[in-house]
Amino acid sequence: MRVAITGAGGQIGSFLAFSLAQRDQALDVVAVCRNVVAAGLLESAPCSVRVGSLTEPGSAQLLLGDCDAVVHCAYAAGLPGHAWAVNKAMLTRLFAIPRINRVIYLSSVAVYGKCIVNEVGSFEKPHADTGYGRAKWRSELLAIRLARRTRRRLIVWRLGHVYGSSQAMSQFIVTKARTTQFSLPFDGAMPSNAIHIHRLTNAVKVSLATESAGAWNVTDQPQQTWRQLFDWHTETLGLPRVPAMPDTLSREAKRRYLARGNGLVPWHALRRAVTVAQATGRTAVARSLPRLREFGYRMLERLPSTLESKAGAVYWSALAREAIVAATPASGVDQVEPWLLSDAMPGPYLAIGGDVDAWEAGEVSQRAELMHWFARLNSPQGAWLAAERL
Amino acid sequence: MARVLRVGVIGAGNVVERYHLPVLSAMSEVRVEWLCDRMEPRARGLAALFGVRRAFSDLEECPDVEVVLIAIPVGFRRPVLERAFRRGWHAFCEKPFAISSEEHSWILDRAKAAGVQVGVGLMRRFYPATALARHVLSHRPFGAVREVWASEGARQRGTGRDSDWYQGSVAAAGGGVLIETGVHIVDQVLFATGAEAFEVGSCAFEWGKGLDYEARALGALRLRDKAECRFGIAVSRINDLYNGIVVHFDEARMSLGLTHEGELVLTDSQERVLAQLSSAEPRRGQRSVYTAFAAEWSEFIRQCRTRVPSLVDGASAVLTTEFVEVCYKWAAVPTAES
Repeated sequence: MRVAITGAGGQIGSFLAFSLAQRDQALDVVAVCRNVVAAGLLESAPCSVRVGSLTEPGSAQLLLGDCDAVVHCAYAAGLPGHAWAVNKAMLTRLFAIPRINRVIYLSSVAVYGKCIVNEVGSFEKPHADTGYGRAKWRSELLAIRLARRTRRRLIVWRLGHVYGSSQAMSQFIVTKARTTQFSLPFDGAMPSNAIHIHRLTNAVKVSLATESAGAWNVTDQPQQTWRQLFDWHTETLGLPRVPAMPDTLSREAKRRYLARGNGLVPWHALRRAVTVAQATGRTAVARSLPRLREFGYRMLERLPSTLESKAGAVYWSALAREAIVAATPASGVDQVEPWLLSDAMPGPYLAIGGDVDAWEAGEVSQRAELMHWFARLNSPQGAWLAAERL
Repeated sequence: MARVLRVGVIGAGNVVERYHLPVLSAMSEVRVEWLCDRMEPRARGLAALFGVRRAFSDLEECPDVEVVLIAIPVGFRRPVLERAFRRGWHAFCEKPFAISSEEHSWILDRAKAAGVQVGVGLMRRFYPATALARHVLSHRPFGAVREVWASEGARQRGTGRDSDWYQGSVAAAGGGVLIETGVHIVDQVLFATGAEAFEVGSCAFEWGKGLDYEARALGALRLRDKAECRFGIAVSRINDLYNGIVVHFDEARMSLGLTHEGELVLTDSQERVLAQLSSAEPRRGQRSVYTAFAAEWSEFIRQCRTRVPSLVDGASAVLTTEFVEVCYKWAAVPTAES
């Protein structure tokens, strides 16, 4: 089977292209990149690499016309209108290729929002609160329509946070683990909605070999908690264990996140914006308008001294309040990343068949990869140390 | 009040759209008169977005200005600079300044002959951590500098660019990650340390499609007081690396971040933190990337008015160009010049 990996210059696409080509001799992997710079990442990959645009009909046919299946990792970012036009064009061209009979579309946990709240949204009607999440949801719906129209087998995966060597989530975890003020909300008891990049590769391999179609959430099975994920990283890399945030603070962090109107009730967010503007803007506005200031001074001259003193006290108190708000670092509970407070993705989960350990040396190999990646991050001499090891 | 300088912008790419035009629009001492790009629709669109009156595709049609921003790929600049100098325009060049030492010298000589100023856009010089590091290193309060290690790298996670992106062409870009991104960190090290000369002892590359994706160099720097220190630098597009510069003194260590938000941390020989400068408390330099761009423009404008070399004078980046050139020659990697 010839399978194309679109977006092969990205962090997931490049790994999939390498891994699938190396590990599965039955697959003829074609890595598709948008430009030569992205393709250069795959110089040593044991697969063919094609460069071009997926949005032009002729170009898409040249890139994908001889492929049986596609793992669609490509995603256009940028200004929402432009990005949607590109993403829509890519999907439309892809489903117009006659030979392709199977598409795996990589959607994202982002369709549920940064912090999944099970009372809001569902698998069927997720509640995205970012441009990226909304774009992914729209793309899912478009892919489903196109698949029905063209009678293709479509698999939609709402991918959890992908971790492992060179993955952004592992970089986040390592950065937090090394931040002295950081503590793990609810002691990491919340579900991580995460998946190791090797398990994702395994899932692709298995799914290409079956006749399945449908939509699933995709995470490690069983689902890991944030504590398990953080501990896996810190133990592997010899970092101190991340302390637990007390439950009271954790609950407060979640309450504040939701109360800030984060994607739930728009008028909450508006009310907060108005309140903040009132608290900080009043005196700033007054100070910045010379005529108003002059008028104010003339009025003060005519007031009895007790009232003038009162006016002074009100003004200086407001100034002090503004300065203190500006100087006070934000409370730690306001800084907690929302995905650390999140519920599990609602709906069905992909049962990842096969055994990733049969592919790799298993846990040992995954930890060794992580340590090798971390060695480069840990010090400026890391690049040389890693090269020497190679 | 000083006369407003008229600026022409040559090149309508990303750095112009996202940084130069927003900054120039906010500066009262300049006025952008026109945009020129071989893709005229792009130039027109950008001009409309930023209230620039005119757009052209042919430089010969552009009316006179005092200053031009050269924001086209480095491999295509020579004829454009020739025309700019012939018309008596001061030129502010986006990094990298030149592909080679020979080209760097050519630019400086031609500018001098034409009686105009030429500057280089290396805005990291204006980041708080970099500016403070330069100040600290100029006074050597912690003894001699023994070693300087610098690295910058992130696994490329998507480019967002189409197949005609100039960075895919050695002829246009001058090379890969070393000249495109590495020139920033190389310059940061040379600027912060005030190095007067360097030596490259070894150099290694990882490359693909004729472009370098990772470059590692080891050598030595000769500093202002003729002292020498060991020096290592690495830049990468294929691996996540430590992003920062670490300077080892006799008695202490200084680490600085590379971005406008980067911190400067001083630790003693027992790894105890002595002092820390974070982006919340800038004592020198600029708080955001936009103010850094504004600072470099202000410096160049002052240079144009006073004819006194500023922090962004083209000649101040000679060592940076030489370093990149020496590294490429070391590995005999094909460049636009070869």
